[in-house]
Amino acid sequence: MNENSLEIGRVLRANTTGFAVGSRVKQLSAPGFGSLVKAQPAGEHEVIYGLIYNINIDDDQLIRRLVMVETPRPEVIEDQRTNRILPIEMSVLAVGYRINGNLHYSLPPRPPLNLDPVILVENAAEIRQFTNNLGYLRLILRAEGSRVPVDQLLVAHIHDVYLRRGEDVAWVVSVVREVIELLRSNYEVLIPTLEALSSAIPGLNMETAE
Amino acid sequence: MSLEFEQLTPSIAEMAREAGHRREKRNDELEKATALLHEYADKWELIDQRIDWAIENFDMKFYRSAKPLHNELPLDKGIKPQEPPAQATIVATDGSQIVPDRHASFLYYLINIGAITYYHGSGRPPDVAAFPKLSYPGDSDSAEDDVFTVSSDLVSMRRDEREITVLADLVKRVQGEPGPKLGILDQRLLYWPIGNSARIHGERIVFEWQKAMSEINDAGGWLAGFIDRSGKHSVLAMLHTLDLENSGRTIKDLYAFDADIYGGLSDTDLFDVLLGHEERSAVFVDISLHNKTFKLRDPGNEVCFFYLKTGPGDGQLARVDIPMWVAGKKEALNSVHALLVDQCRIIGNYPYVITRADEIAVVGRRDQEELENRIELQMNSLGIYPSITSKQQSKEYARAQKSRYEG
Repeated sequence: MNENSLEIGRVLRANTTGFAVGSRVKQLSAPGFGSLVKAQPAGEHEVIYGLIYNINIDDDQLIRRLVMVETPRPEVIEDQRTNRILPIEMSVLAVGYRINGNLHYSLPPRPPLNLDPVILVENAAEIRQFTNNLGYLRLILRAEGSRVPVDQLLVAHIHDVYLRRGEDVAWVVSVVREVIELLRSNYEVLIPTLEALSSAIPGLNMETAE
Repeated sequence: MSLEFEQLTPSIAEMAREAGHRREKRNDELEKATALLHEYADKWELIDQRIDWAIENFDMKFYRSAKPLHNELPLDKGIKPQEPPAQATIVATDGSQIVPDRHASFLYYLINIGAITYYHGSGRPPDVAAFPKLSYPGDSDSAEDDVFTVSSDLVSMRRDEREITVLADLVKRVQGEPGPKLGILDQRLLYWPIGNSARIHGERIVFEWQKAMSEINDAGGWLAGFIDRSGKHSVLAMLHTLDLENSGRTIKDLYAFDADIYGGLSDTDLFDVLLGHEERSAVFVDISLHNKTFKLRDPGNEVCFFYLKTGPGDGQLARVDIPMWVAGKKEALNSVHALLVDQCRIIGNYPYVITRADEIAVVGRRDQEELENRIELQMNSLGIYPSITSKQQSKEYARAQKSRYEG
């Protein structure tokens, strides 16, 4: 792990198309919907990249009881958040992998294993390297019709990477061109995606992109 | 094979009819008991006289009753909580166990104690801790090998012992914290081991229990046992003792241990109708031979109790056991009442610290499976490959969850 690595949790369960991550409350401040993450078994040369498409916070009977109290006490809230073992669950869509240093923009040959650490990708060079090739967008669009909110995920991810690449408008323009190409026969997803992108990213000229 | 419900239908109907009869009888008894409590509510001299007479004349092996401690406020009146101390440290422990299974791959038992330290009034988040202990044949603490072959009740007794010894240790550790220190258990303080093992091991465990109580006292701590919906009928026995001449009952009726002589009533039924939300009853001293032995060992350990209405609804009533060193000091007694009420307010009607201690202590099925996997892996690494019995294997087949192929 490099100095920019931030562990956000560990793999709870997985399959080829994605994995669920269990996190503690304190690990929730950095990652968000659309963030690029990677499952990285220690000492392995295999890394699986994915995008967070859902964050689930479960309740239980005690939480339900506390919610009914007019004003829960700060120390009790802190106890629930720091001491209790109620994992926050993040769902991740697999969008590529790296084996022996080579990036691949397809589903990984093997899913990560339970308890593998999951890291938020924050290193600018690594983000650039992974997102320079837009092949992974096909894997996002492939999830259309599943539980993945594809249009919202695209917008959140593109906005996040735009910022992490230093407000790289040229990259966004190339992404928009690719999205238009890939969604040219699916206006129901394409139009709201483009509309949301134009309002999320200032200075983006859709006409240039088109 | 599923249960044959048709065969049970007549029994279910009979059960419901019987419940109806019992409820009628219970309501009659409740009316009588409430009237008795009103009648004797402040007749302190008479109460003292008759209960002392009963203690002298009844066979104490069979007679259990109660006696008011303070002789001040009428017994039929609820007492409202005062303001709790500005700061206090509340420690609670609870335990769970995995009992030995002679059909399983390996013989072992586990006791897990959950503990929470709650810093009342400080705004600090609580500290939590778990104290698991694995025991197995041949380990230094498991001299009594019968625990692995016959006795799950011995494991329960050892769990109880660990609950109070860990509590005593933690109360000692928080001595430097501001305000009073209150240790809470979710069981009676007048500890009484039950089961076959109690005859052999009970005395030693009661000794350790009493020792831990004294240690909490010596450390300047307070102690309370919180018992939700207690089945005790000591106050009812007291009322019936007071009314023995008029009731037509005999002394032997009061020796009976089953609650049927009170129409299925317990003390909680009586105080449930008398107490308002968050009110407590007067404090009673437990009158029993067992409590006498507690008092003989350490006068401070004589167990007293009061009833506490924890929630606004019916049936939300707990018994709170306190030792004499708490019951005898008004400030300590009132603070224990107020702190328990404050704890109950956190989640509505039950002390938060007990809920959390229980949650930390519980060893779920998944944890047990994980523990057994780890034991098995360690055994395998040493070339030990025991097998489960055929009986256990057949149980696992029958109870295994079905799975579905999902592509």
